[in-house]
Formats: sequence, C-alpha cells, structure tokens
Amino acid sequence: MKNEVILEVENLVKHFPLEEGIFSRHHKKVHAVNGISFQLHQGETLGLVGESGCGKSTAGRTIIRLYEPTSGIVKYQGKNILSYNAKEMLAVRRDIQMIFQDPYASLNPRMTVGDIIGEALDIHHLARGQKRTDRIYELLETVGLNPEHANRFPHEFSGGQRQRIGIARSLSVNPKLIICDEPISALDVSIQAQIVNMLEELQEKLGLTYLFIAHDLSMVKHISHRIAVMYLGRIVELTDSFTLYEKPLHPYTQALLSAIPIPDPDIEAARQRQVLKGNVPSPIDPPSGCYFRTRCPKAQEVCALSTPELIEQGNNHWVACHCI
Amino acid sequence: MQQLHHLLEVDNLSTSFFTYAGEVRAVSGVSFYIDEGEALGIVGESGCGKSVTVQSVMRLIPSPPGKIVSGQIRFLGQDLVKLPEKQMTTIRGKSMGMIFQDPMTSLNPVLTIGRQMTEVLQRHEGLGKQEAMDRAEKYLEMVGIPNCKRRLKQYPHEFSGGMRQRVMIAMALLCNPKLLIADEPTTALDVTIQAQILELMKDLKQKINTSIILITHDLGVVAGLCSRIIVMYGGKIVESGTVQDIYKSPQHPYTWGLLKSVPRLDALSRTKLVPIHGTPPDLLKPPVGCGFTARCAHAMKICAEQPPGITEINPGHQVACWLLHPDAPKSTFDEKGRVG
Ligand SMILES: Nc1ncnc2c1ncn2[C@@H]1O[C@H](COP(=O)(O)OP(=O)(O)OP(=O)(O)O)[C@@H](O)[C@H]1O
Ligand SMILES: Nc1ncnc2c1ncn2[C@@H]1O[C@H](COP(=O)(O)OP(=O)(O)O)[C@@H](O)[C@H]1O
Ligand code: SF4
Ligand code: SF4
Ligand SMILES: [Mg+2]
Ligand SMILES: [Mg+2]
Repeated sequence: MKNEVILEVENLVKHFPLEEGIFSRHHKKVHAVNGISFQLHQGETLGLVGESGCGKSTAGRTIIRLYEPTSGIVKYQGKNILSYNAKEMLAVRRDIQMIFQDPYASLNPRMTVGDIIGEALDIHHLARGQKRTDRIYELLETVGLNPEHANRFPHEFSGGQRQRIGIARSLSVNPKLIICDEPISALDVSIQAQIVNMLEELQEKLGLTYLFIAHDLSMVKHISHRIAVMYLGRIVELTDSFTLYEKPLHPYTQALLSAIPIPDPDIEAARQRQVLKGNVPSPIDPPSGCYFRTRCPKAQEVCALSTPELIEQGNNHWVACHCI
Repeated sequence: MQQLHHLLEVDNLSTSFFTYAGEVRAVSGVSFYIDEGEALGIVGESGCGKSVTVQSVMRLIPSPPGKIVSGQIRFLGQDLVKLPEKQMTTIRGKSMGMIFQDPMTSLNPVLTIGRQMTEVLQRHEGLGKQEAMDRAEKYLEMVGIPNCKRRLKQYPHEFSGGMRQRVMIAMALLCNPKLLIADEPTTALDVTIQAQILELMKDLKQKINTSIILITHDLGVVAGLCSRIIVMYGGKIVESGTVQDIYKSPQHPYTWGLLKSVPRLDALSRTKLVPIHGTPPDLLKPPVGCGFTARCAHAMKICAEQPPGITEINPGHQVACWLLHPDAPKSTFDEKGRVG
C-alpha cells in the first residue's frame, strides 16, 4: 500500500521544563519526545508502541499542537501546521481528531450524549436543528448505540459504551485522521475486541487514517499496517507489523517481543525468554549516546559516545542501532 | 475420614456485599483446591469475583458491607471461615502471603522497607533485630534487588513500580508461607517488568516450593506459570482444568470468547477478532439461569431458566454449561476458525 502521505513528522521534539528551586543553576527538563520522524499514508494505521512514559501520548498531543513543540516540523497535507494561526488550526483540528484512553474523563458529565456529539458540529458550524439531530442519531448508530441514548448522561454507560460515544464525537466532523491514544487500554478484554473491530470497519468504510498509540504490542500488531517502536522519546525501529514480529532488528524490540506472554502453555514452556535488566532511565537525565544502552545486552563502547540514527536497512525497515 | 488433604480446599463459598442498593452477590458457590507446590491461575474479566474469592480465603473482606454467606475454607486442617480473627492474623502473617496489584496500598509510606520487613519477622518468627535484618537482606537479594543493604534504609517511594512489586514479593515470602496469593501482581507494570516478575515467581516456585494462586485477566500471563486454571464469570467458576484442558480443548463458550477476543502476538495473518457482545451481568441482580446467557451465541431456552450443573469431562476438567447436556445440540471450539 503506497497511498499519498497525509501527515509527515520531522524531527519532532517536546521537552517539558521542570519546576525547580530558585537557586538551581541548570535548567532541567523532561525529555519526553526527542526528535521523532515518520510519515503517515492515507488510509493506513501506524501503531506507536512503547512502555509507560516513553512519550507516546506526548507525541500524539504535540502533533495536533495540544502541546507546543520544542522544535521540529509537522506537515499535514504537505503544509507545516506549526506556523498556522488559530483560525488555520481550527480547520486542521477538524480533520485530525483524537480519542483518549479514559473515556470517562474525556466526556463532560453534565452534558447529554447528544450534546457531547453535537458540540463539535456546533463549533465547526456543520449542522443545525433537525439536521443536527439526524446527524447525531446517525452517528450513534454508526458506533453501535441507539438514537434513544442521545438523551442520557455519560455515567449511565459502561466503559465500552463511553468509548463508543467518544468515537462518535470524533467522527461527527468527518475527520481524515484519528489519533487514538490507548483507546482500549481501560476496557475489559471482551470489550476491547468490540471497539477494535469497530475501528477497523470504520477505517474501511470511511477511508480513515489512524495513528494508534498503545503499549499492548499484540493488539498493535493486530490493528496496524506499520509499527513504530519508541524508547525514551525516540523511535528505535519502524517497519510493517509482520516484519517487526518476524525479523525484529533492534535489541529493544527483540526484548519487548520476548516479554509478551502467549496464551499457549506449550509455546510458553518452550520459549527462551530474554529478560531485560533494570528499568527505563529517567527522561530527565537520559544516558548519553543510545538511550537503550543501560539495558542493552549488545551495548558496545560506541553506544555511549554517539546517538544511533534511524537508518533504513532495506525495504522500508528502519532501525536506530550501531550494532546491526 | 482422614484422607490426603489438599493444602487449601474451598467448598461452596459464597460472599456478598450488603449495600444500600441491595445484595451484591460477588461470589456464589465457588469450590476449588490447591495442592502443595502447585501454581493455580484464576482468570476472568474485572468484576467477576476473582479478588473477592481470595480476599475471602484470607478473610480480608471489608465487613460491613461484605460477608462470607456460606461455605468452608479448609487450610492446614482448619476451617478459616470459623476461625477467630486473632488466629487468622497469625495465619496471614506466617502461612499465607499476599501480593496486590498496587504495592503502594500495602506498603507503609512512612516506614523504611527494612523496618517493615523486620517487624514482620520479629512479630511472627520471634527473631532478634539483627537476625531479622539479615533475613530481610537475604530475601531482597533473592528477589533481585541490588544493593540490598542500602535499599533496606529507603522508603517505598524511592523504589520504582517493578521494584516495589519485588519488595512486596520478598515481604510476602519472609516467613516461608505455604501459600502465596498474587492478585494481578503485574497488571500495573510494563511488559518488560512483567516478564521480570513472572520469571522471578517461576524461579521462586522451584526454589522454595510455595504454592501460588495467581489472579489475572490476561490468559497469556498464567500460561507459562500455572499448571491448573480456573475461569470465573459473574461470581462463579464456569470452567476449570489443567492448562492443556483450558487452552487446547476449552469447553465453555466464555472461555472460547476469552481466547478469541484477544489477538495473539504469534498470529501469522490478520484474522478478525471475535468479540463477546454485550457486557458482564450486574451482580446486584444476577441472572436466574446461566450468567452468560445474554452474551452467549449458543444459548438455549433452558440457559435463561436454570443454572447449568457441573459436568466433568475428564478427571479434573469441569465445565458449567448446558451444552454438555446429552440432549443439547453440538457446538465446538475450533482453534483456527470461529466458534461454530
Ligand atoms: N505536561 C507534562 N509536564 C511535564 N512532564 C510531562 C507532561 N506530560 C508528560 N510528561 C512526561 O513526559 C514523559 C512522556 O510522557 P507520555 O505521557 O507521553 O508517555 P506515554 O508513552 O504516553 O506513557 P503511558 O504509556 O504511561 O501513557 C514522561 O516522563 C512524563 O512524565
Ligand atoms: N467493597 C465492596 N462493596 C460492594 N461491592 C463490592 C466490593 N468489593 C467488590 N464488590 C463487588 O464484587 C464483585 C466482584 O469483585 P472483584 O472480586 O473485586 O472482581 P475482580 O477481582 O474479578 O475484578 C463486583 O461486582 C464488585 O463490584
Ligand atoms: S546502539 Fe548499542 S546500546 Fe543502542 S541498541 Fe544498539 S547495540 Fe544496544
Ligand atoms: S449454559 Fe447456555 S448460555 Fe450458558 S454458556 Fe452454556 S450455552 Fe451459553
Ligand atoms: Mg500515554
Ligand atoms: Mg480484582
């Protein structure tokens, strides 16, 4: 699949300043996202995986300027949106929607479901009166809810239903790209499949493009065409999902895959698990050179001296490691 | 009637919460056992009664509103349901250890790790201060915490999530309990840290021969560690058996659903997930018949009317489902395809 590029991220950096004492000399900061680059093609799903705190959400939010980037370029349909003014951004925010992990926190508890979905229609002047009502009913049906749910409040719904409401809200403005930030992590396993199947069907029907953020690599592999693996704010490997599983090249990707339990006692018994030592270093003081070197079983001297670039190893398989 | 006894035998346990809205039947009629040196997995989605089951075993149900309504819990020759709280405290300290999902809730934030560990040993094992310190250090080392001496002087917040969980495991094992209960010990952790903890538990199981009950909602997590599995749904056990029974020839539609609704990392092609429709039952108004009826693709008329009895398919593999009735139409779980 080689459709046109809809979103292009170049060297995106987001650092958060740390609150500090008045006598401190060095300005410490959280290195949340440290220069990531990737392209998103029309109609594809790109998965963004990595462990807690590696900067996935920050990347997603910075792309649509919920956070102002420290540096870098974000091109939507060929234009750098980082130079857009508020009015120009409004149009971008209509095309690029975001859905969140906690469906409860992201829905206003005092608004009816109908008004939650209708709000975006109002902001973007998309429909009024009867047309607005019709659109709300249509959207509720699209996400598997009933029109009569429109008059109820979020607390009357289960987690899975709330996530459906959130999805209906983001679909209301006919977006082209949806950034899904852990949309199923808070849901029970049996409900996760309902939501994932729905996202897949919507993609097929509406030609949507997804940036799918999650820490569950099995699920990301299932839903994504390509996957970017993040570690401490950097992309360490980027390729299509089957290659990533069959032929992972980066030592971190290999360890991550090896850590995931497979629901099959025979496979588990035969598996030689590669267990990483220690924890992810603090993003306030990341190590020099390769950020993974403190846990990497293959680390060499050079790994502490210079940062490995994300380099193509053929056939669109990108890896950032000195030793492959 | 002196037979060879199981280490723990839970018989027809029912536990309810009496809330202002009515009786929440969190656990109803659960029976299972665990033998010495064995690891048992309890799986099921949130709210199906896993935690309440083991909290009942440890007699840690908040009361009121909670109460063990009926049943027996036999452990080391005693019925824990009837045991006075004082004796129960001793059992909890010495013979059973417990690890929770969030280690912060069970560690005291204002005491050093060393103080918390030695107190347990002084109280339950009657060790002197130095002896207790030595044992604490040894156990921290065993669970893979580097620089134990220094670590003993630190407070819980100075440890990362994975390390806190290791500390919890060390504490739970301090008095060499017969039974270690781990309630979603890795759910809050990253996968690489989860792998560390699971390897550690596997290792410890071999080294010190403790029995382990591991609770999780992730069927992958128990596949490598446990020899037997219990599947819970709506406060009841719907299927139990060896890992081979449960993963290779599951018989209950809910077990099928659990296995088919999650993608497998080793899947070779992209097949559509088979979701379980609807939502779990409200235990405030538990369904009359089988609790899974409203979501079950195989439900028959009788399922809504009467709870299914337990069928033993082969020794140790038990299923509560009407499909196993001789007159029921045949439905099977096909590993590759769909539930048919
Ligand atoms: N508003 C903020 N101010 C300061 N630091 C922040 C802020 N948001 C995130 N961070 C820090 O940036 C880093 C990356 O956080 P982020 O939320 O992007 O991680 P994540 O990969 O989404 O993690 P998770 O899987 O837990 O959601 C973390 O160290 C986090 O503490
Ligand atoms: N303190 C409590 N008060 C009232 N209901 C409770 C309480 N604790 C648990 N329950 C109910 O008991 C049922 C089983 O809960 P639990 O055992 O915690 O589920 P699991 O551990 O399987 O996620 C749920 O319906 C839950 O809401
Ligand atoms: S660059 Fe060095 S430390 Fe980093 S992943 Fe490669 S081998 Fe490991
Ligand atoms: S008893 Fe009936 S409803 Fe329950 S799982 Fe079996 S077939 Fe389905
Ligand atoms: Mg996040
Ligand atoms: Mg629980």
